[in-house]
Amino acid sequence: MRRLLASLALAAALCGSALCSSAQAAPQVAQILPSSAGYQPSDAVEKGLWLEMDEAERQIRASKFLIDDPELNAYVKSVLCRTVGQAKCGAARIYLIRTPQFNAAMAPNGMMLVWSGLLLRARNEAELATVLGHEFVHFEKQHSLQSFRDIKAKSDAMTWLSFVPGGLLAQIGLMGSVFRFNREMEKQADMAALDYLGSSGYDPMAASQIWEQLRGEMEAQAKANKAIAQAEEGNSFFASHPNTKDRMEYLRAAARRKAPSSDSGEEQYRKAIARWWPRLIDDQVKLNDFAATEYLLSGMARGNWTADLLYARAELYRARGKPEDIKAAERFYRQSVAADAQLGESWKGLGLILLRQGKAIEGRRMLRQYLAIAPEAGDSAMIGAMAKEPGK
Amino acid sequence: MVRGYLVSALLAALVAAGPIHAQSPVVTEKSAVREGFVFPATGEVRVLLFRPDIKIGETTTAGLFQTQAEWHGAARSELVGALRAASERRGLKVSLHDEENAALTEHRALFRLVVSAAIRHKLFGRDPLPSKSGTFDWSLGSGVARIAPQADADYGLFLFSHDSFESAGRRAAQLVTALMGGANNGGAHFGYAALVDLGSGDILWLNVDLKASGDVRTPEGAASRIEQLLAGFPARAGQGQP
Amino acid sequence: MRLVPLAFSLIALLGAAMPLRAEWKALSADEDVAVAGKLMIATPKGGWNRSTAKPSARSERWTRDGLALNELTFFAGVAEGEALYFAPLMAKQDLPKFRAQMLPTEIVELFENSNRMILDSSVFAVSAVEPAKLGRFDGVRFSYTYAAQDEGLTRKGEGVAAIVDGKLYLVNFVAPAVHYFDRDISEIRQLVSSLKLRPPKPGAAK
Repeated sequence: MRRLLASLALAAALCGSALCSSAQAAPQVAQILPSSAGYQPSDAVEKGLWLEMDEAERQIRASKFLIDDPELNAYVKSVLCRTVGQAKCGAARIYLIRTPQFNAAMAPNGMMLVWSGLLLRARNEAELATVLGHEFVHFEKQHSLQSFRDIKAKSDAMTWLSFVPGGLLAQIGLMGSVFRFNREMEKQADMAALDYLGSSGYDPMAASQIWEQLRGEMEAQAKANKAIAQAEEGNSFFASHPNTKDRMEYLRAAARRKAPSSDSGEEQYRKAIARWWPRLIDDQVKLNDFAATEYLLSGMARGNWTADLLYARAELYRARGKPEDIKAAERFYRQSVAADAQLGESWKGLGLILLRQGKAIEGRRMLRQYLAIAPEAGDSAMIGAMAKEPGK
Repeated sequence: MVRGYLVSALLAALVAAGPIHAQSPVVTEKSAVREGFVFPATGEVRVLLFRPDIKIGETTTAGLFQTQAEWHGAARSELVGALRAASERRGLKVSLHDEENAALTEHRALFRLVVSAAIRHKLFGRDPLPSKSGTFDWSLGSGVARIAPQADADYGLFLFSHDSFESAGRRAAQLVTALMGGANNGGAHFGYAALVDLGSGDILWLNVDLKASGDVRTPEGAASRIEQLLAGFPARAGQGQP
Repeated sequence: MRLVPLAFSLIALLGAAMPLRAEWKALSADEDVAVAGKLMIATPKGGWNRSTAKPSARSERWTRDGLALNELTFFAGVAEGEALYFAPLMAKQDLPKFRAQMLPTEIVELFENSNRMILDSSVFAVSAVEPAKLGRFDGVRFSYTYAAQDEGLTRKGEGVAAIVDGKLYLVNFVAPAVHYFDRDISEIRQLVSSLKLRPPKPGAAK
């Protein structure tokens, strides 16, 4: 029932693709840009949009999915500000949403949603800046409003959003879909975002790199499961950002024309999300999406498997639990504790995987290692019982 | 990763439309009062009106809903004004609680679940829970006292109204028409109101109106809507219906 | 551009769009009742209803005020390779499968991961895992909180599980953190501690 309500909240018809991609740049009357302070919606259509978005924002502010860590929020905001400039970034109100898929969107009223799956996938600040900048351009150029008006003018078959209670997913789905941009808008956003990377001194190659990685993830998934590949194409973000190969190429070519920079902000980025990383990867592993997660982890490691990454990989294999996975998981846990002996969770995983294989004595010893490192863990009572020698 | 849901939900909704068309629901009851509840015979009845949940817009030719910001502003002020007037006639002292705090947000979320459950399992007889037969005892719990501890009120009132004015008869409207059991008054107009004990959190009264009328953008329309939403409102001890 | 027909929301309000129509049967207070394929015997207090719609072939669901407000689910005899729930419509990934060799903490992981997928929520946290009995069998108790996508509130849950003869038995209670969980949890704990498991005799045909 709960599931159905969620679906109903999202229930929607897609407009014909001809209709969707037909938006022409509407003749623009000279006006204040929405990124400047004090901008107000101008007509009934825009006012209706703002009203709905303000309501959505009210709900998101109270949402249980909001990551309200002030440090992390301040960091993401600072990346946007460096990217688009201090003068403009004030127009954006960023909300970090705990959802493991890759997505970001910005509403015409200045609300910007960043899914935690993006934070997990970006490998450095420049990649994050690419996506934030891209969404900001859509906002700045009023792309959503343009396509909205255009579709309204072309047919009466428009509009959206009912009042279904709650409906965070609905709101986000709505943003990814109502604001479906045509190819020119996408390209415009890509190129302007690249300009932002250039003007803010980030490595311009990051723009093509993040899409390349996403493309790879989708392909890995596709190989694992044809049906998944199709569903994946339906991801609201990818659906409106088609032809990834093409875009990687034009982004790469354009980046070569920019002044090269080696500043990708990898170190800062890693530090900034370090506290959240275990939760983000945990969310991903628990999606039970083996192929995509395996690809993702390899992309993050790029040959350099840290203790954290090894732990995540071991968890992924243990969760799938095929006989050959058990062996692989044991190997990864061992490598993980060898790389960082203080990673309690890896000791626990190693203990569990040994117990699963009947290696009880060593398994219990590993569990006790875990308890020594994390005596206050929520599962310490259960693990403690499992770690106890029989008959004692 | 969202479109999968969209398609399935669309299908689910269309499939669901079938049986609804075929057999209109038997509306057995549209409001309920907690067993034995009446307002005290004397003294002031102080009611806190939580920021009403209002949706208003236009159903377009394609049968879809578009929010109208200006209508929204008008409807909000007219409905609140009409509620004040209606309350005065009933001898209630109503104050508006317009700010959303954490306690209100969480109880509002719980309230939505409770109303959905009450509508589904009690009113209208669609999916009855045997344990609720002959009783109406849903509650939000005593945590409601945290919503407005300073407020000078014993009761809280939730109000929800949805209005869509349609430009032409559409599938969505037909669906609504079927749900309402026939009459189509040009769009979909429905809402509910509920009274909550601000001490215990008990739902004292709930009224759901699926075939409301009146143009809530006007004073007269809003007044008539409020009367519909307040149908079956609890009486004072020793008195009949106000 | 996606469009949301308005009538859907009314359907949602009425709960009229349930594809599977559940029926509810009252349970008598303080009387033993056979649950989930008669593999468990429970003795509820008053006010519970059991649903004819099941979350899986090996389970059964009860509620007092509506499933969104309190949900008590019994799983009994879940076998090797089976999932806890029927696969959701249009699911992208298979739900995780139960394995007879699972360790107590892995049962909790199975439960958590299945629910994350069913609920489409990553806001799900297990807070405590400890040894417990289910019937006369050794097992695990776990408590957790989560938020579902469309509700705007936190729920709390508590489950007790055990593996008996390679089959999983699990009882789970979940309710909104505001009011409903606290109101009933001590009664639920009592119900669970007096629960009797009736696993089929090993080797008997099932």
